Amino acid sequence: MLQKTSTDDVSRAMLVRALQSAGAGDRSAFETVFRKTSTKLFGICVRILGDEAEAEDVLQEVYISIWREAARFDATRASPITWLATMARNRSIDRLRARRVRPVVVLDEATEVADHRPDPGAAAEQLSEDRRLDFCLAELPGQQAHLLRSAFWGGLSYRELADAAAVPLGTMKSGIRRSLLRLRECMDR
Amino acid sequence: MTDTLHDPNERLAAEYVLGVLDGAERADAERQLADDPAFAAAVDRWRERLTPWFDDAAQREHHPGLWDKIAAALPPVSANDNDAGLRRSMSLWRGYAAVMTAATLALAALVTLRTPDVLPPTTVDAPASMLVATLALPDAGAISLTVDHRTNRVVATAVGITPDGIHSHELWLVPASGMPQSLGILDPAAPHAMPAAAALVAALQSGATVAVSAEPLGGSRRAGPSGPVLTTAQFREI
Repeated sequence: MLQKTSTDDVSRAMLVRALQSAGAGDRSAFETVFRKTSTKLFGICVRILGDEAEAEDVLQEVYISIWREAARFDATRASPITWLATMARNRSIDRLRARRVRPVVVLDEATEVADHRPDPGAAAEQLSEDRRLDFCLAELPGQQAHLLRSAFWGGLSYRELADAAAVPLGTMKSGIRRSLLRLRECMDR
Repeated sequence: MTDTLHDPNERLAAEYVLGVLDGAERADAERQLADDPAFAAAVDRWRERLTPWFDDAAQREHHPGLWDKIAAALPPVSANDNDAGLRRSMSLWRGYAAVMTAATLALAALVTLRTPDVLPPTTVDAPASMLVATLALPDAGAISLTVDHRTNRVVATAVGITPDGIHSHELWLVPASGMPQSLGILDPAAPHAMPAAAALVAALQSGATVAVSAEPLGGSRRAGPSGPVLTTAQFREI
């Protein structure tokens, strides 16, 4: 499905190998994983938490988890960057949910979504050149793309989304489920 | 692909990865993730689908000293458990852990009971050099500690402790007065020597108090415990 460049394939293979070595207890391989991915994962933590100091705190926890769990990384099941980024996202969202007082939920984040793609060749950890997800999101009706984005980046539950959008819970659920189905059809096309 | 989101597994996987489930639903999904390979595969597929979204977050420079902090906080070895899904075998572990905890406690009781008979009176060339302590955690699981004064190591064996992914168990030596001193972070996956300083271990005596606290991953960032102390125990000689 993805048209990857050979550079991406090489850096991905290197990352897989470094992660596997880290899983076997190799600290210098783990440092390689850190050097190749930490600005990416830090960007994810900051995006979710909106606070650099807290994001750095979470980023430390994320890498300690990565070290602990590297032996469980299975390259046949996940790409390394998906595995790593998911770890950073989940940990950041856990932190967000643990905050006693949540910031006001802002659903419309469209203005923040700019093209942040790094310089070609500058980032070995570059996620994907393909913008299919953006394309498929743009195909969704109304506010659906914003809702999905808010859920993904804000850790918002159906209930929180429904409250923020002032619609009944059932309406929110059926709308999102429909969108997920359409998204999958479009992505797997 | 012919299945649709009417397939409850596929729908739940999508909702779980997007993050819209509430706490209880999410916990259910995580249990299913541990037990159901088909569901886990659906979750993997959804994660890959949504991965391009991560490109929306600009790469960002963190503090240059961050690596040193992380390197200093790393447990001595990673969890070298090649089982592709510890979480997958969690329910198995829980049952196993209950049995093992009982077995460990029975063994500890046996060792304790037999001690007077087995140990010879004081001998010169075989100094009594083993101290043991068992920390039974309030929720589940136990940590058995053995101090070997010949090597000045504390060996920790955890039974029935499942990492929750957000906390570490940190072990502390609690002096009669003054600040608890860290023996290190517990690795629940396998028996291991704690990274405590040899001098600290050498000074350990029967009756010394040891405690375990729940800390952020990687351990307390303060001089002493920062999280709740789960339980304490005393070392005794065997």
